[in-house]
Amino acid sequence: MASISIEDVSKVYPNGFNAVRGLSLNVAEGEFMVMVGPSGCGKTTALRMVAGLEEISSGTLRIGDRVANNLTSKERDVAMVFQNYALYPHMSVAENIAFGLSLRKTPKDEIKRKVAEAAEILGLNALLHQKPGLLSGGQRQRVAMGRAIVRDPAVFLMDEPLSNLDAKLRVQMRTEVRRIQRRIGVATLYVTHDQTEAMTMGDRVAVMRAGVLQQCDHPQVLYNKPANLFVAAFIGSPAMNLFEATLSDDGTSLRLGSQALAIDEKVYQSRAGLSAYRGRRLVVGLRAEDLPISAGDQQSATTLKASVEAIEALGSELLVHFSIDAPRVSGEQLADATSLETVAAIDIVGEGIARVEPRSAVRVGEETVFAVFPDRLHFFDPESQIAIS
Amino acid sequence: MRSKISRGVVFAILCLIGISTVYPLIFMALNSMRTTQAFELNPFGLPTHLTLSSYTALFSTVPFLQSILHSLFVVVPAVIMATLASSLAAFVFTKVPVKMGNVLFWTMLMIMFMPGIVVLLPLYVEVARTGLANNFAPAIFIYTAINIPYGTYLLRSNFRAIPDSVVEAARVDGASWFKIFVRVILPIGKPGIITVGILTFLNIWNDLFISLVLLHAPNTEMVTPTLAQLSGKYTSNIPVLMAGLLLGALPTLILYFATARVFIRGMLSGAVR
Repeated sequence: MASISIEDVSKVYPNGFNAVRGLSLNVAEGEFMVMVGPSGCGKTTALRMVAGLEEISSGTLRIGDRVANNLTSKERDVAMVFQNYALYPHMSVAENIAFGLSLRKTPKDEIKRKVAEAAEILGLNALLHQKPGLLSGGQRQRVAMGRAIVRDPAVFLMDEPLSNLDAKLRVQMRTEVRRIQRRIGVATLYVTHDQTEAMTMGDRVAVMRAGVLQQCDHPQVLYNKPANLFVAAFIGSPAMNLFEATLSDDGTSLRLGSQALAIDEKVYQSRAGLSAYRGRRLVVGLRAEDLPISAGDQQSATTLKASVEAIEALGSELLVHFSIDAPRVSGEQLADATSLETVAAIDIVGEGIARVEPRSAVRVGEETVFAVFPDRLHFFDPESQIAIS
Repeated sequence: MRSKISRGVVFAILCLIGISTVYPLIFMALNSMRTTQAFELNPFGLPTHLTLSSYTALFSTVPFLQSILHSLFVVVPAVIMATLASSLAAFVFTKVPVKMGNVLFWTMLMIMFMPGIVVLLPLYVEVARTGLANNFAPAIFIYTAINIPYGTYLLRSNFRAIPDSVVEAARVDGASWFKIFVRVILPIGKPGIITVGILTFLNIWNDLFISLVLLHAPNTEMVTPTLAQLSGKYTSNIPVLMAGLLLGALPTLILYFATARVFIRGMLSGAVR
């Protein structure tokens, strides 16, 4: 068992493409670290550098207390689960799991015992003599896990191992992967583009964009205190509603299109930097669950009147798609992983999503009034995109 | 309706191709069992009574069995070496990150496009000067070398179909490049490798030029030059020639039928790209 320490690591390809820029990340012994980001954000490249499948252009990689930059995959003692499982098609399940051990000249009876043990943990006992071609996606996934755990590696690397499974199986395997990892207690670096997977599985989650680490923290912290607009828009489903707004000169109200929200002292207490934005433009963020239907149906300084565009009934809740006349900052532009440029294009009509009680009286085409809690608002600088705190 | 017609047309064309492929074999087989007179009277006629006199004539006029042995003696080691070398080269070109790998590959292809006749004369001069003419060893090595580029070319597209992640998984599992080749690539690429082996066998077995130049003494002659002796400028005993050609083609036919399923799989894999 060992920790992974990535210090200021970069990857520049021969064609000049900078896939990972100055990444620093620590995965403690036994920790489950998830790297998440849109495709092309450099997360897989980072993982492959740890695995020894990709050269490190600059920076230092440590596995345990050894510098691993120039070690081969074998010397690093890592185990990896691939997106397409990468099982050896000509070997049986048992041979697939045993391959790494037989390369290390492990005695035959020990191999047998370890394979049986892994098969027991993963429920593969009945399949040991089958070829991978005959297995279902979920079973192949488990064989790939088996191949990784049987070697007692120093660290575990997983490259979107669940993305080829159907939705139901994926949810089931999430808990299973976590259960196995907890049982073995090996530092794990797990890459995914699915933020739900990241939030539900990770002890900590590292959000990447265009090769740069945006924020690395516990899932709840990412959700409650996103460091910048990108993290705010990326983490959470539905995504955070982001609108362009202006703080009044005296700082007591926030103008959102034609409406104004009262901002009291409490808001400033927890966000010292906000007072500098008096009379200035900023981006305000509202989580969907922080917009309940207002009880009084009356407009006030802590409500937002919006027209209902569509309703998604999910049984336990309603997702109300609404529009207000404040410009919206679109998450799609933010999710563009390949550039770090500031958000330029802004929609004129701001659309958002509110998560409300299933019995709420809302109808498509009508106007409704949402209650707003000023201290639950998120504020971001429109230029630097950094959260105002 | 239309699809029925077009399918009919395709079927007819395939039948034609099939017949034109098989007909020479049948022609050889039938005429090898006719007398010379019967053949000369009506070359395309059917045999009225069968005789094996051409076969006895074949064995008495030329050292046929001996030449088959000579051929096998050259072809088998050359096929094994060429196929192994092609597999290794294709593995390196597709799976191992080597500097200038593509340049090396295209250089090798260039050699493949060079007509064999161009290298023949310098080769002969070299072999004759070193006193190695009519010696099996240089012939084996030259055949091996000549067949490596084509085999590599075929196996490269074949090995490309093997996912890189399988090789990477083996690397992470702790396998050296050599172990990956032996324990992962060879078993997965088996159909392609066998196909290349068969094609190389055909190439060398059917070759006339190089064997004529390198092995021309009676005690080293391979099967094709031996058969060529049966066809003179003024006189040719066609039924005897047919008997020789049929027997000469027998090893390749046996090889094909023994491996037909793998061979077809190998020809198809990596074709759709």
